[in-house]
Amino acid sequence: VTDTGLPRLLAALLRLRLGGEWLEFVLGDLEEEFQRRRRLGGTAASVWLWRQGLACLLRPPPRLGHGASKPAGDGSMHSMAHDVLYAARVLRKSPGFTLTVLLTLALGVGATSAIFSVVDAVMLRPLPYPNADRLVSFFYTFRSGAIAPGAVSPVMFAFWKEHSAIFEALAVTGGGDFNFLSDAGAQRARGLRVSDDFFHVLGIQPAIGRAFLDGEQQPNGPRVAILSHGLWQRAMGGRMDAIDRQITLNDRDYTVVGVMPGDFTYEPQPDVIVPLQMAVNPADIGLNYTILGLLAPTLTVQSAQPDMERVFQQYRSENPGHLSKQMVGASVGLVQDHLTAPYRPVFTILLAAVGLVLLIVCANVTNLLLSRGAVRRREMAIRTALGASRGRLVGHVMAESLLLALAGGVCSLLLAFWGVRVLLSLSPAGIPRLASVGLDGRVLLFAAVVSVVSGVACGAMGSLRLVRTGPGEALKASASTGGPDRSRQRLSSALVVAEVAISAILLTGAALLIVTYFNLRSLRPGFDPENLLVVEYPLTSQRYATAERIVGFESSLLEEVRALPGVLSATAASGLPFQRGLNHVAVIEGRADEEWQLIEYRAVGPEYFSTLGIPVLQGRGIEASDIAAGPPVVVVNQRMARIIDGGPGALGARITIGKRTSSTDVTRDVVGVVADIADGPPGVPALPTVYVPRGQSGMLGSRSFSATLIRVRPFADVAASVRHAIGTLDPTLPIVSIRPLSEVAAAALAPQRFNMTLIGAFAGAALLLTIVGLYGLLSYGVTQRTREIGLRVALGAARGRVVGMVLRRGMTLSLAGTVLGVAGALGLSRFMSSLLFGVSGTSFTVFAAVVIALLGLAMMATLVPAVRATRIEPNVALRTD
Amino acid sequence: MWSKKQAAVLGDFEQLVLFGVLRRDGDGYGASIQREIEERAGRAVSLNAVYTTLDRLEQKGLVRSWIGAPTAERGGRRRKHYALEPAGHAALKQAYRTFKLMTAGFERRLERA
Repeated sequence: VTDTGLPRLLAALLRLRLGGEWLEFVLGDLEEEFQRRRRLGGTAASVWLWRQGLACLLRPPPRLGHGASKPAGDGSMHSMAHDVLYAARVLRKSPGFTLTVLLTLALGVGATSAIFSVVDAVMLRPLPYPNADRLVSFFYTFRSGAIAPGAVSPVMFAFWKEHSAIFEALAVTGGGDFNFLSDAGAQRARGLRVSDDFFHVLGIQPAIGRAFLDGEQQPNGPRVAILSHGLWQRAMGGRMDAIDRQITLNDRDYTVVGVMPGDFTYEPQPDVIVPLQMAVNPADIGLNYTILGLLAPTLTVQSAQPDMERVFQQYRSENPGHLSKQMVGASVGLVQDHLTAPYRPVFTILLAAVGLVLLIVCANVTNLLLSRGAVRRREMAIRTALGASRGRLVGHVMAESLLLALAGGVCSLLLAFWGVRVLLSLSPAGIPRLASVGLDGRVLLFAAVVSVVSGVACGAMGSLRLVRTGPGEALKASASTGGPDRSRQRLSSALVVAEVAISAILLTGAALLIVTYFNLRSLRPGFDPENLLVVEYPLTSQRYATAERIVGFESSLLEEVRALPGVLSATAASGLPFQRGLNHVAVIEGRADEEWQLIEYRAVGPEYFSTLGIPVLQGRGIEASDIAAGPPVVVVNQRMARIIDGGPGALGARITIGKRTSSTDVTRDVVGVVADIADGPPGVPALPTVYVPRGQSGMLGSRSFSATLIRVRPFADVAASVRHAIGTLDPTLPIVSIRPLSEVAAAALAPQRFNMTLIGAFAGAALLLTIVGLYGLLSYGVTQRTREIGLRVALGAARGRVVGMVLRRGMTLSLAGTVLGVAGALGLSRFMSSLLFGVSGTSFTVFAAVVIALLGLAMMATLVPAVRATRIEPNVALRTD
Repeated sequence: MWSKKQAAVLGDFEQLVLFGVLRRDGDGYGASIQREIEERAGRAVSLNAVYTTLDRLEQKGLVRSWIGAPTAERGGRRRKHYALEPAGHAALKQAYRTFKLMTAGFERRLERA
């Protein structure tokens, strides 16, 4: 049974509330009737659905065949039920107050729950494998002291397998996507290549069929594949006889030997798993394979460390030159930490921010209860005088708080539900396990606990004071002067100061991130990213097994594309600007092999520089004549040119890409120098880059990723024609995307936009709540002191002095809060430094702007009640109460 | 006439629901009865109230229910159908008669208002 058509939240709530068969009938009715009404009008149908759904939630039909239920229980339960009913009545009588508290609580708890649901799914929940707590990968320690997750080479893997004693099993994996051909056409399938112990390490076996056999791991062994549950459903319709059938991956036939379980997840999620069939070639020293280890049951990450250190040093001395001199040690770390490490700072800050908002919410609710408590002191006093026990009054007050908290919690779920959707739509690509984010039992429990704890805490602070004062005192106090209650005022003032301080902290954080975002966005990349269309396609199938075939395909495609109306120029490349190229090394002629240089490697076609608008500073760009058979050439950027010889003499120098260990590592003439462009990740200055002609690049960088870049006239729409051209040239080639380069640039900034938007939203909410809180406190103070102010005015106090009195109070509180907040922000902003760009965590401008904005808004919130105070007519004021 | 068992006296809402069941002529289920009342009488009633009342009417022996087959438009869920029992018919007849007797002679005035 699925919930197609029905909102998931509503269905989930109904499932919790309705028992037995009613659930089926009611859900069925709602869905059927909703579909019918939707044909007449979407909005009316939605209104109907939610109205009916909520009605069923509030008063579900009685349990089948049991008739109306009778109240049961002993006396104390009766009195508790009575308390709750009474509380409900009291709250309904002051809808303005109730609604304000509910909305405030809903905002705080909802935002907290939404963030928690993401943090829980991404970071807290254990990975879904039986041995998740022993699943480790490698981390390397660098000379600088930094520790970062790292991969291994085949030689290293074999060495560790032989010499290390800490692993129950050790596996490596590699990536590589497939061009999957089925009746439905060509599509890209995400591939995962795994070594023999992979399934043992994870503790997961295929649901149907078998894992790979030992013989299937030999280089050039049999072509077998295990499908993901999703691909099995999509491509084979979930047929049970899928085993032993043939599928076509990259133009080669593979035999299906297994299907993974439906709930199998892996990061990144594969569609097809094939044997790695890795050859241990001593020349292949690139750290290109992800290692996955299962620690022996008795070991922990700490107790495994000495063995890791020993094997690392042994490997280093037996294989000199294999590892960078920067790497000084190795350790194991949990895979979970490896996956979540990049996101830890952001999520910690988000949790802290949302926690601060929750604190403000609690402060506001407490203040609301306090103000209301002052009004209700007489009610309580009269009830005490009439003989109500203190316990009974406490019961009432707590029932009220609890009811508010629970109702607030329910409202917060709606907010959390939308909040999670907004979060998911904003979140940058690549965050692991994001698909499993949702409002599940853990999040519901979290929301319930947070709302009850905050509601009860506020209730205890705000309302219990009520029942503490004796009846005589309370009756006297409220009947005579109507003056403020000192200790209550002190508590309220302290809460407002705290709110202003928290707002200042959040505003500072938000301002720093906003400045960061705009700093990054305003960076000039050094070329013209407008009116550039990028077409991505994977040339992974057998028909593109050689560089000649790739170049052949691309030159016919470019020829067709250049002939299209609206196209100014077009070129091909092995990667996109704003995304990392291939990490490689180069050796400059005349220097020792050990002085290799880390470079960014980009294989590009002719017209690359003119199409992107990158100035060629010296020599020439890549030309059509730079074919495989021609003299090997390379174009470098300024940064690389400076490394070669400090500047102008780079032209004519010779460099070797690779470490001269393989026959394909040819020495190339530098034929051109082009301007540096910021085409890496945002905020990272241009890396030393080499541009190698596509035709001379061999298979390097071309295998899994290729793109065509097209400079078009403004507003020209050529996407359909390009699609058609590719379809005609190779109908089996899947097109991954056709989009403007500006979209790639925007996607590269998505993490910063995510941080800025969320912290900004929290800061905005905090500011709003604080201003409302400040206004409420002062405005309530003015109401309380109506008599006093009236008396002062009657005795001749100038209006200006009255304004000054209220203003002074408001601004004293705001100033105190701002000072505290700025101090706090100065202390906390260093935790944010990893998220900032082009702005210091203690930037004077940012802090000044925050202080001015905060005090300005506080002034506005103060002025309204201050002006109201001057309008008090003495004769009216003296007659009140 | 007096030898017959007294027909059940219906509440206002029970009447509405029973008329709904009657109008749907044997294929009535929660949502269709709810819609019938809403469209014909212009009264916005809620599904849970309709089901609660149907459950009560069933216990009084005025309607009977049966469960249909799952259908695709309901997301593979089943319907609970209701139809009038003879006692339900009698109760409606009785209510209608009472209504007619009590309004006799005032039809025009009531229609105008």
